[in-house]
Amino acid sequence: MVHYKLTYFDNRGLAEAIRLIFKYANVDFEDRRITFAEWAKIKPTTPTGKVPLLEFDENYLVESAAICRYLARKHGLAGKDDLEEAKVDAIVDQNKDFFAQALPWLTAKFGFEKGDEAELKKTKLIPQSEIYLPLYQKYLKESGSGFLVKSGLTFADFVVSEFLITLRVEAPEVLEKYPDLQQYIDRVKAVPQLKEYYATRSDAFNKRIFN
Amino acid sequence: MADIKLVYFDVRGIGEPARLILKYAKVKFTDERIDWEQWPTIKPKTKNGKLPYLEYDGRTIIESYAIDRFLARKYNLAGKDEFEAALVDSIADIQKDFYNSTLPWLFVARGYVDGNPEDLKKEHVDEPCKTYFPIFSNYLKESKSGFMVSSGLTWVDFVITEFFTTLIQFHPNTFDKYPDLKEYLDRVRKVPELKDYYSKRPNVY
Repeated sequence: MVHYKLTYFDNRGLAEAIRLIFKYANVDFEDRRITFAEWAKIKPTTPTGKVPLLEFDENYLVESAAICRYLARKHGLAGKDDLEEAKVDAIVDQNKDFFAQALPWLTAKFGFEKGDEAELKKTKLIPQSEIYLPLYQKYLKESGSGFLVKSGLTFADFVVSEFLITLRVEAPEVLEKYPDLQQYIDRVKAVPQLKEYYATRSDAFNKRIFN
Repeated sequence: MADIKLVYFDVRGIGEPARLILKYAKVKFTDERIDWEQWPTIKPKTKNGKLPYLEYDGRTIIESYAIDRFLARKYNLAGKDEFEAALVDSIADIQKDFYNSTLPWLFVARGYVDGNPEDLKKEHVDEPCKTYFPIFSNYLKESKSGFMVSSGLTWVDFVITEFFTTLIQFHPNTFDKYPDLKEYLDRVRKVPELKDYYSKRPNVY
């Protein structure tokens, strides 16, 4: 049996979708969670200076989407055929664009970058959410499955719902106009294989990583 | 035989890797190029207000990497096994981070946004190159194949070298300190299935 080690900060962040795939598939993994102080020491020893990092056998993988896709394909979470896989990839890349636009606001809010949180929310988060949230609504409506693509749950649902959860925690008024997206989050959290995991996991940002 | 149409602007940009995959595989496709003037009427008809999109047997795929990966898998350009496919995906995402970090400079340099590109060069070209070039060099060293992964040419080699081409166009000395990366770019350009296409293609924009 393969021994997987996932290294990331002790937060949901970009690694949570990976953890959800492992939990959904009931696959054991070493969930290594580090603080910023530990990161300063570990960073120069990592292959690309970034986390999440997945190590297994003699291999390593970086980049959250690549790791998700690799694991998802093994566990029926990547889409049912080549076209659906491409659709899943497209949604994950769109979320990455959305996340990249929102990131200056988010890092200002969490306190690891300088920035005027209110200003960035107004100029970045809000306009971008008005582009991307309706797109997610459209995908849900088109799929008819309750998830982002027709065949059902895929890793795109983990990636997107985790970011929507962050918005719900850090800027609740943004999601207020999208009750169907709120229901979508709850639907992902109610997936039988994951209900218990979600129930014991915090959605809030863990500030103790700054220690 | 599949009915394939790629729609993008008349530039290399993020659509060129898909063209390269199809040319490499000698697959017939419609290479539809949209003028800037046409774009406002076409934009609302697209799935996400953006290009490129691919029409494949009547179904539409958006997002350049999703298109690249979908096509690459059909023509043996996605890596020899699932692990290599994941490695290709990782390197492509690293490239995307690199590309995104240069965008504030690139948009000014291309004239989409007002500003002086020289003011942005240090933070948005020099620093990212210093961060990312060693990572690419390292993957080349690990693969030993002359391409990013050990089994040889994959779609990520097209994505990276197209962006390297853009960097060199603006700053010819980009790879002076990275001869391995300059050799890598030349190597991809000499791939037999594509030599002819590259030599006839206007390498500007």
